[in-house]
Amino acid sequence: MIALLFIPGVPLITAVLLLLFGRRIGKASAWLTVLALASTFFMTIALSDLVFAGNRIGFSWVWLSQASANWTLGLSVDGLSWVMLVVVTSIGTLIALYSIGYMHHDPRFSRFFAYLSLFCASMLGLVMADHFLLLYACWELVGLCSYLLISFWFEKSAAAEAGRKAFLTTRIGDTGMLLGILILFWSSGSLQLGNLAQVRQTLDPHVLTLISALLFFGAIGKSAQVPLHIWLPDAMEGPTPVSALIHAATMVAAGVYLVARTFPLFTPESLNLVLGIGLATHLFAATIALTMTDIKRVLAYSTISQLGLMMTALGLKAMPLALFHLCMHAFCKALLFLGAGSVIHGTHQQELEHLRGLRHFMPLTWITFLIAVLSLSGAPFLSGFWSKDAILLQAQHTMSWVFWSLVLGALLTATYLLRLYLRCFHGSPSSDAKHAHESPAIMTAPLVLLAIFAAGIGLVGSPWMHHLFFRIIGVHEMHEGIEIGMVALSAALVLGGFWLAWQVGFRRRQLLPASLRPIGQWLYQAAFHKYYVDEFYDKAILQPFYAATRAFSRFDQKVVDGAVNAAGSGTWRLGQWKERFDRLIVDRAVNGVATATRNLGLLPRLIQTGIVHPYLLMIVVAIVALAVGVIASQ
Amino acid sequence: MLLTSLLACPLLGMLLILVLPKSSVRWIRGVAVVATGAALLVGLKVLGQFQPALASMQFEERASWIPQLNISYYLGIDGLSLPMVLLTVLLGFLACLASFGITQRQKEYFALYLLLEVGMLGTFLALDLFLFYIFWEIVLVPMYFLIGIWGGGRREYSAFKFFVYTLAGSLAMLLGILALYLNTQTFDLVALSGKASQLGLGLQKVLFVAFFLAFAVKVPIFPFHTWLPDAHVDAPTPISVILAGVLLKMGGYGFFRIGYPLFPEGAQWFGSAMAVLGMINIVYGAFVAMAQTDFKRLVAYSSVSHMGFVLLGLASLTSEGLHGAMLQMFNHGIITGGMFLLVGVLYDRAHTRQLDAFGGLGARVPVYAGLLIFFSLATLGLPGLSGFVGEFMAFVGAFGVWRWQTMVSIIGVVIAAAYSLRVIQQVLLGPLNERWASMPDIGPREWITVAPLVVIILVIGIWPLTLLHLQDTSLQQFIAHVTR
Repeated sequence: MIALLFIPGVPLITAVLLLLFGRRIGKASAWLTVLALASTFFMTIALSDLVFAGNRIGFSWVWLSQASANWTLGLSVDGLSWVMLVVVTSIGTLIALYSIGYMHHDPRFSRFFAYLSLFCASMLGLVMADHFLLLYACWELVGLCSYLLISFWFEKSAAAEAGRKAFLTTRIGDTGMLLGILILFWSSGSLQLGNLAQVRQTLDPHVLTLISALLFFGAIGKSAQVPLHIWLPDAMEGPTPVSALIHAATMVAAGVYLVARTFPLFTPESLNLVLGIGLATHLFAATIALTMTDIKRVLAYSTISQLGLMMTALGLKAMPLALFHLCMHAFCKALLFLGAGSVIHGTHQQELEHLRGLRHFMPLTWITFLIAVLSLSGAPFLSGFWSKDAILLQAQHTMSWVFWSLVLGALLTATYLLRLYLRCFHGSPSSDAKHAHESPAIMTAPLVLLAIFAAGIGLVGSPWMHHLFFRIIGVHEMHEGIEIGMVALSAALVLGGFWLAWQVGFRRRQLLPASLRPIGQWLYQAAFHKYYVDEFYDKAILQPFYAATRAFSRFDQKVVDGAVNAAGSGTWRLGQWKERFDRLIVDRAVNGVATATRNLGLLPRLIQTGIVHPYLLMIVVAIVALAVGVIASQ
Repeated sequence: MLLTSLLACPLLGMLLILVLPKSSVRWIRGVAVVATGAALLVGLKVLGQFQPALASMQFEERASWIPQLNISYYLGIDGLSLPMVLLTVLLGFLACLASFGITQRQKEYFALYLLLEVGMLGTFLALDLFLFYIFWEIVLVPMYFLIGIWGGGRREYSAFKFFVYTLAGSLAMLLGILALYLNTQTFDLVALSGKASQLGLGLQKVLFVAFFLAFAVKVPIFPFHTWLPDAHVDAPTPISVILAGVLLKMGGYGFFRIGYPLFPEGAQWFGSAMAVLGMINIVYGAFVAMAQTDFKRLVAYSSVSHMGFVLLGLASLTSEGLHGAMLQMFNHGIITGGMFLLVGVLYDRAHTRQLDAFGGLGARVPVYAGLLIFFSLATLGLPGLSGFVGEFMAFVGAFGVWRWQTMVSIIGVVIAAAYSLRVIQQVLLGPLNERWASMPDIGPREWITVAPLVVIILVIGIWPLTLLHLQDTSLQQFIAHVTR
């Protein structure tokens, strides 16, 4: 099925066209993007018959070496990836449509849509990848696109910094994933995603635990789990539609999808790790969301928390439920962010202090936002209810402490969402709110469509539709019927959350007895400062890292290069010494011999005068002396 | 005669330039472009006629030269040298175009430049050890003058350091060559690799280390690398491109052509050291790059880091690892070559290379910004671009053999991302530094020099088989020979 190539291919080609000719295409680039994404949506829908029949469609091509089958990359679609395709393409299309209104005045209009297209193309490639290498490649491309989009308004230093933080933080996770892939390759020889169940049979459980934990480390980065969650709240520096895309359909969903896709590799030990991290993230982020005063920051921490819930579900071995919640959350969170974008577009404010009573001025935004809040809080029979309810039920059957933690998490979720809602839309209008206007139809239309999904799409996973969702991804045994107790609990949690939000969040009542207030205040401050994680990383990791780079650089200059220069100057000095040795000793010795010879020659000169008389005198003297000697001897 | 004509193109160009009058700059440039362009065309013709399925040498040419010593003029090409030759003719042509910015003593410059290309091509083509050594040394001379005369900063110091350092390394090689000849009575590289088994293990070890020293300075391998940042920073832009793009590859190629095939057991004995050195290059180079404030120096140290992947892949002696090492050599030439061209573009306009002197150029020079982002992403190993494939394959190959060395090396990937993004951020993002409010965007001549590199990075990144299938057969034979 080479036609599968079109699904990531069409947005990819669109992105390339827009990157090259964006300025000439101008405003039409937005519609081109919408068209491209919509076409991928319809292509996905066209595949539904094949997928519902339980088929796995795919095609592959030789990539690195003809000799080895290990490097045959491929795309494939099964139930799991089909569901993801539907989410990405539908939400992507709506967000692109919405962006036409939101980005209307931006000077880099077509560039934005180019990145948006590329983002969706990478994510589509990621969910369709049939080989770890291709998955990893798309995974990195998703990271790149998030970088480009978060720092889209790069003239703002904060935006530039946030993009870099996102890319680097997720890349730390990626190295873990890369290592996992390397170990998998060397222990099993295969990197195909299609036959992980067989691979599991052949591998040692310890190795499996290691591989899956490393893969999960990649997911921690991408899905903003503790301890690599720090990039996501800052990512709101990007344009709001980008936040919607990152938080709902692309990027953060990739981590959950990775764990779901490689689920056969996870062992009980690594699933416990997933459970622990997921649950910790769920509660940790929810408490921070309670204290945030920026509309987008509340939503960002909400996303982290909800991703934690999905990870918790995965840790409870309920992969289908995690995926179900992923989809429900995607629609709700996209709607929430687009609603927040509409508020920001209308008021140019995103601090909660400046936003009050907006419901009078932005009715469509108000209603749709309320639906998303209720749905994500788990109000009975809305989409979010079905997925959250199923996870609670699963927890109740397996581990009760997890169940009660999740109940607490659900209460916190309802509280922070309703607090956000009340402070934005209720109360007497603030001065900024009074000038607010409802957004244009191109922005509200996606809101309404998403609201319909956020309210009703959950039915596909409900007993009322015989768990259609789960049958698509290949799970056939589901608990039929609705537990009344759970419905009541969910309703109670939403109401409880509402009461708390109303009393504390909206009317600012002190509910704590006076004796506990300092502790409450202390906890509040800790949460408000995000538990000082950023500060801690700065002190414990970043500063030492920079210090290390400087130390290495100094070492290189002073020691390594110093040695080279020392060798150079040492040779130089040796040369000087040698020169001195030559001059003072060798030369002097030579000259000394010469001088000595000459001086020696001076001695005979005393008598060798060249005058005849002394010579004659010497001869006479000598003869006399000889004669005397001869005579004397006789 | 194809390979001789490949050498003849730049050589004739050089001779022609020498007889041209000093003042006819246009003619001199024209001759240089034609000569390097002709070399590029001949190189492409070699590529067209090359048969990837053959493991033996192709286009062989042999003529006796000094018969008393068994020295011959012997050229040939196989899957290991072809990528290097293509890299040389391509970068040779592009850097020649980039040399139009040279404004003084053009006659000497282009003559030396063409001589440099002769030396580099000869190094990659020679199959006679003696001939190889001569070409290897020829490269030094023009390089010394090109840095020393047309460079900037402490150019004389840098040129001198480069020259003496490399010469010192070559000395060890010369001794090795003599020892090898005395033991085998031949300089023929093909014959020598057949006789490799005749050498005892002890001799192999000694000879491998002797050649290692020469190659290590060129690659460069820690701790023999400190000539590189100085030479890069002070060399004129086109020479930096050649230096990083081609000259460093002579060292890596030396391992592939001489070090490993001639002394297989010595090389295997040295394997773990090689892996550790590769790891040090990767991580250490990245750390030092991160701390640099001079753009060119940063790119220079990133070269040290990237060449580490070559060593790591080489040490693995697996198919994946060696493919990765070869690919990495080619890719590094293309990517870093492009990076230096871009640094040059910036320097021509701003006359500074201090990263913190820039800021916010993204909105001011959008085309340049796009290119800089593209090359930075290639540097950090983004999938879809060529750098990723080489690094990934080197990792895959090395991980099975040198486990912890590979694991530590992976840190280098994160730091590479950190310094690449730092470059983007400091130069392009943030508020515009008003000093550069009227900076012009990249011009057509600069465009032309970079555009082919962009295409190659994309093609190899998406479809690496284009290059891999050229070297596959030769590499399989290489593995079989070395690990026998």
